[in-house]
Amino acid sequence: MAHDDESDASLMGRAAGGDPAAFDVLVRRWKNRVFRLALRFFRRPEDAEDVVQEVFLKLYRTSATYRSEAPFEHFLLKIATNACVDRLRDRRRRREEVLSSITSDSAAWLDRALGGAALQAQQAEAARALAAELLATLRPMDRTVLVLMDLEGLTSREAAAATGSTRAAVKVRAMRARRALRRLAQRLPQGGRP
Amino acid sequence: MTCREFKVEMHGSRKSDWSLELLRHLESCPACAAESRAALLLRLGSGGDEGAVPRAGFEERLRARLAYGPAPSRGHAWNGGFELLVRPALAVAATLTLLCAGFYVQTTPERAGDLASLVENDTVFASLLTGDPWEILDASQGAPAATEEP
Repeated sequence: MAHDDESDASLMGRAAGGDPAAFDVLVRRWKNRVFRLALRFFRRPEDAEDVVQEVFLKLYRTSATYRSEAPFEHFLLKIATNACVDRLRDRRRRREEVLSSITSDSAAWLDRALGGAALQAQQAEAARALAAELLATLRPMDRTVLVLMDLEGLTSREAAAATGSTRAAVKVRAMRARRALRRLAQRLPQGGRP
Repeated sequence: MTCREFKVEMHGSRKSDWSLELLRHLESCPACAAESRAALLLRLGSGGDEGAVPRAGFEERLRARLAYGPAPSRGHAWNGGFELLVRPALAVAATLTLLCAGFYVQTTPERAGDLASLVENDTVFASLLTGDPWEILDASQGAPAATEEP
């Protein structure tokens, strides 16, 4: 491919000028990274893929606003983060509603999973589903910041750039999310016995 | 092991890779045990399959949506236009305004005359300009000869 060795910034410039081949290279280069990030928030691959499509549509439409002085990954990550947060807002669950719907079996499996015990595939899947339900009760932006910092390994400065906020705000959000998670984990019925 | 060391090691590894020292600390420290459960809950509920890729045909589907969507916005071009044309035009306009103001002041002698006559004839104004308030008193005292001996 003619554009394969080009920098992201140069490809963005070409895409903004109406070169679809340049945009195709960007999509090929970054689609997996964005998809894996989306899977952190949406368990169904179809949902994650929907988000990735939205991200690249937005990237294409705003390609003319990209300034090459900023790292491309930050620009893309910001679009991806916004897309994820928007969708998480639509799907946010109420904590009490989730906690009251937990079955003793799934609580027991999640408790064992959190304790590091080995589970059968079906039980592990139920535990993961319940964990995802519990995470859906967190504030979307707080959850996003926590995932970026604790799972994606971003620094507070990078997370701030990705979410369009300040470092101080990012640290507060991460702290708040960790505290909410601790409370959730404490309120889980221990060993399946509420 | 301190709680701080525990947190650093915990966030960087999976539970199956934790050292014996880490596990011992976990048993003896309820705060770190709660922290560890919260971190594991986040990891468990956040999927994160390292090898996951979008389904086949992803790019074709995206291309189809791009074909019917709006073209890239020209925001950057407008910004470039602002930098290239509008900003210099504003600078030229500001310079012209200053020049016109200066020219106006230079070509209005009657105003300068008014100011000169005001300084000459108005004692209060003159005292304010010179910064000498006693000039007002001197002028008022000099007018009548009330203080002179009869």
